[in-house]
Amino acid sequence: MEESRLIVSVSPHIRHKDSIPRIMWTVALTLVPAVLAGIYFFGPRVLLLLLIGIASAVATEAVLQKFMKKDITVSDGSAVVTGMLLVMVLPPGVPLWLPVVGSFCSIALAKAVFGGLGYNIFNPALIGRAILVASFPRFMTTWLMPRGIDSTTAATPLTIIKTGNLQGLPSIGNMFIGKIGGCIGETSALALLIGAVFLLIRGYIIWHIPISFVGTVAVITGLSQIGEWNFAMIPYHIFGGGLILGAFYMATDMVTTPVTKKGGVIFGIGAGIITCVIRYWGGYPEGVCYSILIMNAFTPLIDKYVRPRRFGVVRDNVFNLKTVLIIVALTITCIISAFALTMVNNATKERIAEQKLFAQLRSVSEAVFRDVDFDNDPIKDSITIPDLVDEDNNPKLISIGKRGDEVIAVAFKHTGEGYGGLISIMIGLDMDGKITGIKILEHSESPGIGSKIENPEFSNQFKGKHLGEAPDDELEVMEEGEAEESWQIEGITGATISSYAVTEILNEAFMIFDEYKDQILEKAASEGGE
Amino acid sequence: MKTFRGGVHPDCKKESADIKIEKADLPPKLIIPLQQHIGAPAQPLVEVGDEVKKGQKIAEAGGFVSANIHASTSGKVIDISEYLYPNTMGRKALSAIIESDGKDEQDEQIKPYEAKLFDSDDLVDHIEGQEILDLIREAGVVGMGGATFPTDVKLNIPPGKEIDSIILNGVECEPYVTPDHRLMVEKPEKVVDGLRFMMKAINVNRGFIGIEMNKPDAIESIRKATGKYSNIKVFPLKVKYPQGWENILIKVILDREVPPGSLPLDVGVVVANVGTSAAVSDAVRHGYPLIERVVSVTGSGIAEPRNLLVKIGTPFLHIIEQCGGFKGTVKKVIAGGPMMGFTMFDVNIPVIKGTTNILALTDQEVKEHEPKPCIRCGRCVNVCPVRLVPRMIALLAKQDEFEKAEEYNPLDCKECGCCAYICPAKIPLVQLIQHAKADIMARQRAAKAK
Repeated sequence: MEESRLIVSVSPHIRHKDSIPRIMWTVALTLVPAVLAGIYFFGPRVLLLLLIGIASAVATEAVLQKFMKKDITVSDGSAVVTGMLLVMVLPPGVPLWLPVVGSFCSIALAKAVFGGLGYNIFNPALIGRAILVASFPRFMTTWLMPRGIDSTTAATPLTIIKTGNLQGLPSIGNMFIGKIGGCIGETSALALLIGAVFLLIRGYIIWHIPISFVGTVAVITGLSQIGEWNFAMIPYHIFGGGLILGAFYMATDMVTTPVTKKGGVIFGIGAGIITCVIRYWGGYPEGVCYSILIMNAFTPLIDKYVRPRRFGVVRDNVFNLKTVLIIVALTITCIISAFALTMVNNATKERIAEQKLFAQLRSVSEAVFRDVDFDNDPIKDSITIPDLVDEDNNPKLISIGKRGDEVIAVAFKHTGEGYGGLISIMIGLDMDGKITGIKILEHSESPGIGSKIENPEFSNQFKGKHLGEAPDDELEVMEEGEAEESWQIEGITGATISSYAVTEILNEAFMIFDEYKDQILEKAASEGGE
Repeated sequence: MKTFRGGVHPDCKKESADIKIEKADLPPKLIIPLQQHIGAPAQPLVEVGDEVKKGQKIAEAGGFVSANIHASTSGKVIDISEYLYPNTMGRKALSAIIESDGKDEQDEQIKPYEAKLFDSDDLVDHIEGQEILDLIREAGVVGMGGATFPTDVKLNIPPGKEIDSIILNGVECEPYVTPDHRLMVEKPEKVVDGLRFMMKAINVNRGFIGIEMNKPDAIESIRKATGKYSNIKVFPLKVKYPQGWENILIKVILDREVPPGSLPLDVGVVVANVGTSAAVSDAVRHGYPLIERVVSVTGSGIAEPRNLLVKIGTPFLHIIEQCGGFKGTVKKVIAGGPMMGFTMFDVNIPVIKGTTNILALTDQEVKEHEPKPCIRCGRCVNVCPVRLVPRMIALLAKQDEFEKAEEYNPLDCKECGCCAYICPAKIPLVQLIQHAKADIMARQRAAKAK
């Protein structure tokens, strides 16, 4: 009889067809539109980066599982999703080995050491990104312009906002489709939302987290503009960075976010607040990555105290005094730290600015104008030109060296991208366009390598270089010992990128000088007459 | 359209929904357990060798919460001893084995209510509430949706409790299961009639009948049957499991929540199954005991799915053979639906008062799932109709941390199976929660004993 071997088991006897692999592979599939947008805007090399990222994530997982004598579960698709997401939060121009390092960190340090899928506390892809940002800041902050956009300097909308010169902002339409600078998979909100809608319909993500996250950012951005009733910044804060990718794909990661809908809303609001705090007051233009990681850390606490209201129970005993106290304490801690952060920032801002200015001005007479035969006080005679602003959106201060009534030299500060961050240089120029001297004011280049730009052997050689004579008005970097012409300089071996960066900044400074020369002369003459 | 928060949408698969109810063949031998209900077992009134008639009381209720048991056909009692019967624990119960004499002769004591009135619509106005309760008790009527709680006990409202509504449960939310559906389509008057008697018995003037939208024919026929009674309202409901659980049904229809550990009557409601209602009508009008019921026989392992009017005590195998026997490689035979039904390891087990459905699943549907680690997707939390956190109870039960598990209220769990059904990691959540419940209840008993 066929029924002789009947199975006895606990109900239910049917199961939903969703399984972990089905969910993971579906998530991977929904990322494809955003990946295609990335390939379209930043070129086919992106595809190569993506394949390398996925392959290294899968390989890392397989090798570690083998090593730890566990079942090899790479076919469940979770490592593929991690690899994809990691590459999607990298800038498009990164070297090909960078995703290998990132994927290894994601899988090994953020997932395997916790016990694998389901046990990790932090989002693996974001841990990978955070490690890369800390270790390779230059690569992680160098942007490519998308196809169809002509611009010399590439930047993301958020970097533009951070530097304060809002003229460079793209149109909202371009930003929505992804025709902006940014990480590979984060720029096209349109493509990301197509995938996210599918996930929402499938029930693989719930709307509570992304909507509260994006909503909080929108509200705070709106409130920050409230005096001026200028809400134009809201779309830039929503679509201009990693918020859409973060809110719909990272903050909804099942493993590292709360299991309840109520908890999800708390997670989203928290992440939104932290994102804005970082964007407005923090050192980075973007805060999505860190905000999600910080909220990941709060997730176990949220899950412990935020539970659904039990059927038939009016007020659950789970929400007792102790819970309320913990939540109140947490909120107060957050508010205090946010205030402390702002106050320290505000209190020190002016003093730092003062000292910076003092240092700059001293450098004018000490370094830049050392061999200029001026007889005035160049600092006292400093002028500003309307429209000409520095990176903090303050008027650019131009010091004027005079002999009698004749303007013989100018000096001003100019700032540009270096390997590890911004480099500020004081440059002095005579009226023919010959460099009278430079002084590196600030930089964050790698100690011992890029920091050699501070060495006198490097910076002194700029004195006397003639930008006015140079072809295309640009200095040229040569190998050591090969600089012959008056517009050629010798790069530092091993710190080529930093050498180029300094030269590039000086070239830009000369362009400004060239463009505003007449205005400077006019202004200097009129002010001198008073 | 009304419904509730949480729940799941398993494929309905009501393959026997359009098949008319037929009378099942008389089996040569019936196994009639004396415990087919919640409460004390019934005490036998017959001995081995006795001749019995159809409808004859063969066991007397063994306490207040208990029910009479009657012979389903005429024949001879050939054995009274322990036999397997459908229950989750695989337990045996004292059962009377009746060898059928093939005549199916009815006991003369079964008489309709006062000859003139028994088929009158006005009977309900003439009969006393207590009379109705006595007739229901005598007929051994119990909840036929599966819970098998004695109906007269349910309708015996303790002093101090105010009941304002009775809800008839025609939801039948489990996949495959169709006896209530067919009953509502074919015998709507009887269903409504029973409801009116129950309303009279507890002096309530408001009745509701909840039916899911996937049974439009049942909604229509019940609407017709309730047409002339303005105090009975038909409630079409969105299709969602487990809407047929009475606490959920009360929430959906009346927006009242039954607190944990309380009964529907604590919120002023009595809920009864439509099959029970039909049995009440038979008991009151005809004095007819509960000795047969409609059972659907379904699933991919059944050659010809059918709805059969089956005598209580008929072995599963006898019924399955009338449905063309098994088809394919049958892996599971389930009493009830696929969400909450229990698996049988022996098909020589009898149909009892609470058997709604016989489901045979083949190797096509029965897959072994290897549990994976929880990925914290939160689906078990979102589908739980009691709004527990199943994953935490299961996690702690697995680690034998039962005291911690207790903080997550596992005793509220009705084991509806939504969490285990939806879990993408295929974690046996219901099993682990049962584990936690068993431990907690054992500790509670031990504490009481001290």
